[in-house]
Amino acid sequence: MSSLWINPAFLFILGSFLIPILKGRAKQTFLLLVPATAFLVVNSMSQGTYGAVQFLGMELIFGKVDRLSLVFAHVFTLMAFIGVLYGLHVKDDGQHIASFLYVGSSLGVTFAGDYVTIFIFWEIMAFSSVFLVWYRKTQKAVDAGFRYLLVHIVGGLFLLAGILLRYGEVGNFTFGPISPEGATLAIYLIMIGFCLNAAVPPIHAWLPDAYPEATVTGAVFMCAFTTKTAVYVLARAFAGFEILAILGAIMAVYGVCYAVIENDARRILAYHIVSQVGYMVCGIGIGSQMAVNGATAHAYAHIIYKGLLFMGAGAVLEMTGRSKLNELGGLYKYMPLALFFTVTGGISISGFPFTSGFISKSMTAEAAEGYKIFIFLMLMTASIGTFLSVGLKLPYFIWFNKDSGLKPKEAPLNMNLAMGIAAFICYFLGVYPKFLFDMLPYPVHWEPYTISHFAEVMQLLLFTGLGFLLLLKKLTPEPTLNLDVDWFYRKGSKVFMWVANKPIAIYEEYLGEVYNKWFTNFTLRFSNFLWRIFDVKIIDGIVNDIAGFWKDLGGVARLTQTGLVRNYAFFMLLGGIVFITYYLFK
Amino acid sequence: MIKRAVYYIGNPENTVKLRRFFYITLILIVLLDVGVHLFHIEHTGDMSHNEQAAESLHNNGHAAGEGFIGEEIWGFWSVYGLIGCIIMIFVCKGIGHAWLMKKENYYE
Repeated sequence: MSSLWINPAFLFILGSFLIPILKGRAKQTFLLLVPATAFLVVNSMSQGTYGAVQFLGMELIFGKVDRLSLVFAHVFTLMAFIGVLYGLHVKDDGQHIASFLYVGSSLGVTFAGDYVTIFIFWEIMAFSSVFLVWYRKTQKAVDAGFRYLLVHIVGGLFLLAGILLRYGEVGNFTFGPISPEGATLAIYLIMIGFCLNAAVPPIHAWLPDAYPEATVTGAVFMCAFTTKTAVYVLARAFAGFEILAILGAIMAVYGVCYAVIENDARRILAYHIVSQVGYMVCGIGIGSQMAVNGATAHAYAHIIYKGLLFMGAGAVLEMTGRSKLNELGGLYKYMPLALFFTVTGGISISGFPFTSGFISKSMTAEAAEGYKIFIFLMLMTASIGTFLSVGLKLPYFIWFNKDSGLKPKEAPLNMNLAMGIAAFICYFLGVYPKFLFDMLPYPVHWEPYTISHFAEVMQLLLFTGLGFLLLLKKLTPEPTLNLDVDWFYRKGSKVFMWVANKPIAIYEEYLGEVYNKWFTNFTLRFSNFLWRIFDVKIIDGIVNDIAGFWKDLGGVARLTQTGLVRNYAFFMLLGGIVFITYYLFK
Repeated sequence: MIKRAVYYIGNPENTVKLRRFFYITLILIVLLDVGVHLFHIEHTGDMSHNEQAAESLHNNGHAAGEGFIGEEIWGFWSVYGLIGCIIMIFVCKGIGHAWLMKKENYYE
């Protein structure tokens, strides 16, 4: 039954090899054709298990297709198309190849039915996406890329350790739902591996560290795939783990708090990924059908509006070369379209009625309300912060406020087209939620558009707006760097290097001196002494044979050992002394 | 169309008008909320609380919490939004200035 199933992951991965061969229009057509084909393939896919391969006595499953994997693959391929369109003008083949491998491996994870396949694609994801950072070609980007890669390698090792331990326990690599009762160390190691990619604090700092340093188009891809594949695998395996509900709620608030004090537009957006993924992780932790539906719907909506936001901020960066709010302002006359698209993303992420965020975020929040009130209130608080930073602060300080003197043009056509499609989807899902609800893993018994819900959300958001107006001065962006937990490895590595350079080097020097003074000196004298004896004996000519023996022995020793023979002679003596002492005091 | 709307909003001459429009919207939305409470319009879609509680209990073994008290108070979310926003700005900026904000070349 696996014969006719096409894995969209391989469309991207194999497609990436053709990119350097093609030129001009043909290349651009091909770049768009691959995600378009993949999108159609995903749409025509029926549920089942395909592409099972026997490998080293294991069964690898490349095609586990069910409702959960389908909805994620649907939005992944859709976003891939939008992202490729947005980056169509990019001349670097490397960036296109990296993004194709990245999207392909994300799809590979989405359809994987076993942990080995997941792990393989998981690693390809990390190693391909890092190039989207490095292609920015600034020193900062190179450094941030290395940190990104190192953190993900560590996360991958946690995952691998968990997978292998789990294999020891259950004897297979099957990937499926895990019961929270009786979860072992292996399960939690896997969870840590997944949570690192979902950017769950305190292992989230790689995200706001690396994403803002990525290329303009690279960030658009990165914001969609790494965290959302992590949400997918968490949703499949760890639904109902209470720890995730709590961590998710913390994430949601944590991200928005940093966004309030952040200055770089794309770093604000990156912190809001942490916050929004918090809603999803929380929904997964709650684990009810409505909550998992909410998490999935939110992942779908989030990929599109977050992509749109990164595209909007990216357009400004592309045209002005700047992304820091304190260096921008007054662009509304020059980039009104980019403003419109960014604000569309901003109101969607805030959950305004008639946008995608309204129908997805509320579902998770509603599920949380029936679960634990403090979690529900944390999510509502995060909503306030989201609108404050992304809906208001970011557009206001880029497009209005003071005039920065910049006079950029609108972004190129392909970028605006991509933003237009994403903006359309944001409104479309908001107006016609059934389109998304019908794809969710469980049937939806919930109607987002009631008068009371409308009144609730509008009050929360509009009065946040009032707070923004009142405290506008206080929110003025400040050109600072904000400490986060990446301090531990960024400063920590400096401490490590210092320890390696200073104390260890000094200690080594000291040891060397001790060695020279005592050990080598003593050995030299001792061997000198031996030599003189031998000399005398040789001169005597009586024990020529003995000398010959020693010489031969030395020759043999020289062949088998690398050091000076006299050192070994000393060791032999020392060994003898120890031997005798041992028996004397026994 | 988009351009014209953006130019209108960005034009400093219109700031007062826009603010006035915004304040009127605020009043209207609070009135709407009061209306919802006065006329007891069902608050969570087509599913009653009992059904939700039953579903929640059925799905994950957790009993659903009691309905949140804030839902019963007129204009609760207005106050929550405003106060929440103000507290968030003061707390985050406060912690930022006291501890988290460093010079941009801090790590170099």
